Amino acid sequence: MNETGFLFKRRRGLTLLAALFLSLLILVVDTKSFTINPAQFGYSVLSTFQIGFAGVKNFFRETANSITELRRLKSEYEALREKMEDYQLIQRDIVNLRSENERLRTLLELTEELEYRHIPSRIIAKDPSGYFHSFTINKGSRDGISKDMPVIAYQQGFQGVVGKILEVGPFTSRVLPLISANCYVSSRLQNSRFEGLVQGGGGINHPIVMRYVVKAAREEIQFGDLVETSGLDSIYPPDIFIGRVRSIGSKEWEPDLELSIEPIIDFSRLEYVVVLDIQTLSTGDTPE
Amino acid sequence: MIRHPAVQIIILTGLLLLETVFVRELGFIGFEPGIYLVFFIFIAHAQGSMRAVIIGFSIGLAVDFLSAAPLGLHSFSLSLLGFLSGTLRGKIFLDPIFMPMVLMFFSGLVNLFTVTLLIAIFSLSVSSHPFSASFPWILLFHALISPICFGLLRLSGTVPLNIRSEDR
Repeated sequence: MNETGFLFKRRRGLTLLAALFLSLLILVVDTKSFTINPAQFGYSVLSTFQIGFAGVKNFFRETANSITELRRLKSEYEALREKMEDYQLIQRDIVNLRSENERLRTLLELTEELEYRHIPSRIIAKDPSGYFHSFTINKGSRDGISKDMPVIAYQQGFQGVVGKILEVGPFTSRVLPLISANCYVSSRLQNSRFEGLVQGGGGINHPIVMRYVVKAAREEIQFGDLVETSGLDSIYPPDIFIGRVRSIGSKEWEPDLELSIEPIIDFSRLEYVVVLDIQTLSTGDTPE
Repeated sequence: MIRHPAVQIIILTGLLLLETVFVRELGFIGFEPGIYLVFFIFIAHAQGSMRAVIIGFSIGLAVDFLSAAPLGLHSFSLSLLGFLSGTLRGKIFLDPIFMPMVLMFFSGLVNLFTVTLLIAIFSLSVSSHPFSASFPWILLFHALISPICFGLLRLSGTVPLNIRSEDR
């Protein structure tokens, strides 16, 4: 026997296979369970492959279905997400509208108390120049606004001076705000009744100044005292708040006091204003 | 088409109007941004002094109309600024970042000096002096946004890519 031959090399494995095959054969013969039907045998063998192929086909079909399903789910997801975003926007709009409604309701309630004809307006633009402070409102001569009409606003329950009408167009008006250095308001201290003249400081961050307050008033003025319009300048009606005393300047060589006033109106978040027509008493009707 | 002065005046006026409406939303920066000025400087620089004066005058007049400023204040200052900026056409090369910042910084400074001079000469009562506390911030802001504005103008075809070579 050739010791380097194929069978010799695999003799152990072949022996095992032979033994196993023989054992099976014996078993089948002994138990008589092995009756060969060629058609059934062929069918059984091929149907096994059929199962295999069917499994593969199902695998691919399910995969394809899954992809289609995923695609459908993705488009549904996108649609739902868009809908959700729409709802979120609607919700945001509702919140904004609710808060705007609240502000307008407050404004309406407060304007009902006014004895003069009044024109509620909205600020639509600001001064493009950095050296002047004015803003534009959405009401003009067609709404009955004319030059030098006083402009007020409501904030935190206070009725405060905003400024006066500087220029009027048919649909818009320009307002000179109290904080402008060109704006002067005849004023008085609410408690001590001392009078003076308020002038803007020239910017949102600059305090306004009340001048020409007699020195005798020094002892009676407290920090935080309210300053209001006196009604003497024929532009602003009396008793509208201007601000609170922040500091008191008193120089020996000057005959008057100079008070630094913090405006009652926060001009940085001013949205709505009310223009007053002090020549006409209110009839209860407010122009739209 | 977009290089025609009339179109540029319309664009700058539109920008100015937008700024007046949206400046309230930009209030958090603490000063009036004046972005139209940055666009104006680069347009003026690209157009040359003659056209720049016309554009500057028109835009200045629009600013005067829209603000509480007396008529003529901004039209004067922007005409002068347009002329100076236009004179530099072909004399300086605007790279994408550095030179626009320098040009804008000095243009802003010249504008402030001009307005200050006019305020003093005509004894104008202003709300906020040009050299108030915020002026360094305004100059810095304008200088910082100038590369972006300049880039936008270049992309839109309003400002030619190489002004120096076009001049030759």
